[in-house]
Amino acid sequence: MKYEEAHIEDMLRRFMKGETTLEEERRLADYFAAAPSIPHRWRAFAVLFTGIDGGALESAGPAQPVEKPGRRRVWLKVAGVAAVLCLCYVLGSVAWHADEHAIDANAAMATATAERPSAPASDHQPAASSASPTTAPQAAIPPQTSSHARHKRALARHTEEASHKQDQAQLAQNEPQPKPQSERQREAPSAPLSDSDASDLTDHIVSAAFTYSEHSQLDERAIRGRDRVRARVMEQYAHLGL
Amino acid sequence: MMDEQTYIALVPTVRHVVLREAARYLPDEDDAADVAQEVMLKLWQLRGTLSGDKKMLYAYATVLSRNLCLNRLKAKRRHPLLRLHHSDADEGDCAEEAAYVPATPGPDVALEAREAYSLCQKAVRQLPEKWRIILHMRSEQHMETDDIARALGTTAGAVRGMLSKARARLLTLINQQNEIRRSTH
Repeated sequence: MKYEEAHIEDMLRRFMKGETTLEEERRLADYFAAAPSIPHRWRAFAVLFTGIDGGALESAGPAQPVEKPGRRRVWLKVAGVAAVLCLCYVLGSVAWHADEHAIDANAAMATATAERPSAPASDHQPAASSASPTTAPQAAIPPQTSSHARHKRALARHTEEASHKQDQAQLAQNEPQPKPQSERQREAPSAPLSDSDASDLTDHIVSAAFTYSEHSQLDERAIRGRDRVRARVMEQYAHLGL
Repeated sequence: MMDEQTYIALVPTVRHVVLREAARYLPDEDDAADVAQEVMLKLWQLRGTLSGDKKMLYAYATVLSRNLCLNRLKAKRRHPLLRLHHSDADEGDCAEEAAYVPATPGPDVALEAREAYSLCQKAVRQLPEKWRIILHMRSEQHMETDDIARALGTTAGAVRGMLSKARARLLTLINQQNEIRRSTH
């Protein structure tokens, strides 16, 4: 028995090296099929030989690639997440810029049209009357302790004052001829309007702009944008007037 | 249809064609030889369904070889970071397996023949096709090593190496199945 085990052991070693003959392999198969007790360490060999003898190689069917689909799906998931993030970024930035433009444009309309009625008033505070309605929401905010709000208000006040001074200086020079500019600002329809029509239209736009500015909370950005536009308009006034 | 004698007569040429095609795609000679071996194994398995036309056989062998090369290249390219690991694992564990006679911690219960059969079948199902074919040639068709070498256009030594790798892989898979079976009980 000991002898046989040693013999089998040797044959198994050569079997694993691929060096056994067909005859030896047949004897190994016979041993594993018939032996009453098989040593523990040869269990896997027993499974191999009995399985192959039973035809496991024939009946297993075609090989199945097990891992491939999973791998590809992981890749797809990563790509999907990346695509969604990109989309969010693009949409977000588009929305942000659109918002900015809208506020700027509204503020521009408010200031540009607000110049019109202030001109005929002909006293020395024309811009004050035009500016106070648009800044009303800002002024209506109760005093806050947060430094951010303080800074916001300080900034607003600062730009406000600057533009007031400019307003007064420029308007004093421009008072004789405000009409051509105001017609330019009204984005010039093809047929020239009469003076009363023009003033009606501007009143309409002004009131619309004011209600807009009162209902929407104009933030610091909007105010700054408005002041920027106002400054630009004033520059044009000065340029045309001189 | 192509009978075995005709096929074996064509084998050296076919192998040459296959090897040359593989060498065009794979810079490494060993890789190319590997692919050629796999192609020859597949062709052997398909020999019953091949047409008798020599030129068709060469063309088919060429296409088979090219596709296997491309698969191999793709597998290596798929995860650039894992590529080193991939090639290492592939070669390293083959070389190790060839010399490795596993000590097999089997279950305490003696396996019945039926159980052994299903276990072996599961393991065979996971065995790469090329190893399955060579084991089939040896254990089912009882071909001598020299005959196998002639059928594949290689040497007897190469056939012994392949048999060794195939058996080692199958044993490893059987052990894995055994582990799985034991852990589920």
